[in-house]
Amino acid sequence: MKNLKIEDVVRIAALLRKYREQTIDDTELEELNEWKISNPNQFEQLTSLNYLGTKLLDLEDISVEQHLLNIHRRIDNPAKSWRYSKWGWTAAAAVLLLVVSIGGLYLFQTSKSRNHDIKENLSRSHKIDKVRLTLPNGTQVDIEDFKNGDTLTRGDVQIVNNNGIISYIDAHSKQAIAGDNIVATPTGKQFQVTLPDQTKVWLNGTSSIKYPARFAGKERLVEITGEAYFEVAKNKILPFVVLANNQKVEVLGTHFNINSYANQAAIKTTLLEGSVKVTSLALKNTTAILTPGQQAQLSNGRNIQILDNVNMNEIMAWKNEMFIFSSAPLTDILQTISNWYDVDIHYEAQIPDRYTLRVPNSTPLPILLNFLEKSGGVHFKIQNKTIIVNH
Amino acid sequence: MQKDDLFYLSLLQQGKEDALTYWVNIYFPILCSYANKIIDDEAQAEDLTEDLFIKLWEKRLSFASINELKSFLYTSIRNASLNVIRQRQREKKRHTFFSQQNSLDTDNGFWEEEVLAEIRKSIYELPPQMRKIFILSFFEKKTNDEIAETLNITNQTVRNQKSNALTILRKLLREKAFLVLFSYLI
Repeated sequence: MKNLKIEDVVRIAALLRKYREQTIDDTELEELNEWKISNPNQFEQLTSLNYLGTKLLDLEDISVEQHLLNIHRRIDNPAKSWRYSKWGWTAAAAVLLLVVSIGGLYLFQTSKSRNHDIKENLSRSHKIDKVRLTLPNGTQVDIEDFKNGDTLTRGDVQIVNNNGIISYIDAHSKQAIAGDNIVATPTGKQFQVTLPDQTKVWLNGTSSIKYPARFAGKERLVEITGEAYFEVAKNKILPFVVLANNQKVEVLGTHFNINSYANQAAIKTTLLEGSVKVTSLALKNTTAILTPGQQAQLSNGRNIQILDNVNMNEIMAWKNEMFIFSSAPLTDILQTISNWYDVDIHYEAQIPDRYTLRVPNSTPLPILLNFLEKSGGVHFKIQNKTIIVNH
Repeated sequence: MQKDDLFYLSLLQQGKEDALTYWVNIYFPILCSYANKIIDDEAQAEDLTEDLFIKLWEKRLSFASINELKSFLYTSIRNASLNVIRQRQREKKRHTFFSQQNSLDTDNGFWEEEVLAEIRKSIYELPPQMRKIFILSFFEKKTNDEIAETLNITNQTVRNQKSNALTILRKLLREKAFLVLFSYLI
């Protein structure tokens, strides 16, 4: 069997395109000519627009849709193995007959596995693929591509994007609709939300914010899960309050970051500018007031810890689409990776060493893990959705 | 954000099934057609290709680069197709005759497949009918009348679709020209 070097294939494909577009230079032409000598037929064909056009049209005849559906269905339901082929659902039908003929015990077993499927499907449905807005009446809308000035209609509701502020009007009465909205991000996707008071919020992946369509009452109250960075609009009368798990953060006007991911040991609130008061709701009397450069760490049942002079570049790296760690514990790094790539971490050994990493968050996972391995002391193995950590 | 192979590899690694859609849309017909040339059985070729993309999804975290992903696609479809042939030979008591054509294709090194994939990527954003019209006019150099007749639509529709296609592509290709230049420097 011929040895396949994909780098060569990709290279030649690029050269052929340059040849067709007449943007090829002399050195490249020489390279292409060498290839042409051993592949004269292919050269003729792949530089002929007519030949390529015929092949491209033939490919259009293959309908991808049904197969795409099958593939997604099979991925979401790994226990089943339904196959759609030209003869219909015959393979599946044969299995069904077999089940019935074997008897009651087998039927009982299959119904158990079906229940497991249903539970898996339910938990999977809570994971979203796009940035999602949930309206007060429960309607859910994908708002990833929702631009300034756009209007969406969903049933009786009109959703309007006004300079980043999303508002909803009843389509018939044209009245603004009150109530809470939730914006939720999928894994690995950032999104910026503007609140009714012009406060700007950046959500990291797998995060959400719940806020009212209109701030009223004696405070501006929002609730988050995951991680968010706030630039709070100044308002001397109404304090801005953020709820995250068991913590409350109160501010008047300021810039701060809250990391409240469930897989972290503590909720971390870092202040960049202004002043915030952090309150633990679990231990009612515990509060702490932060000054810029400080981070409050709140863990279950403990007093609030304050860290001075934390590394802002590392904490805010996510907003710049980077992973930045300076001599950080491996567990911290892997927690962030776990959230971003949607993988589980399984430790087969304790790795006490610290690691430094500075890469874009679009880095393919094997390369990132390779960087860490090169620093020494750790070895990773990727198995489907799990990273196994060892010496 | 510029949408290119690396973008869709990142998305794939973040567990986004939408990214799988991109890879399926570009490569499914190409790989299926390749498999069919070897095994001469459309339905089975489709099954093999479906299986391949399931495996791609399962192994999504193992690719350190685009080349590794593409290498996986091409190597796997070739191996799967050849396995079918071997299986058939095992099931027959005597040697099976299959045409010379098939064995020639296993040695063609995937040049054609990757060239077609590249072109498919640059016209990916076009809706199906617009794509066909674009292919017929730009690649096969058919006239508007010829296209109208082939696709059974009016000449006016052809002209409208062509102009829409060019608008979309003009915006894309400017980005892509830059991207492709950048990507083979890697």
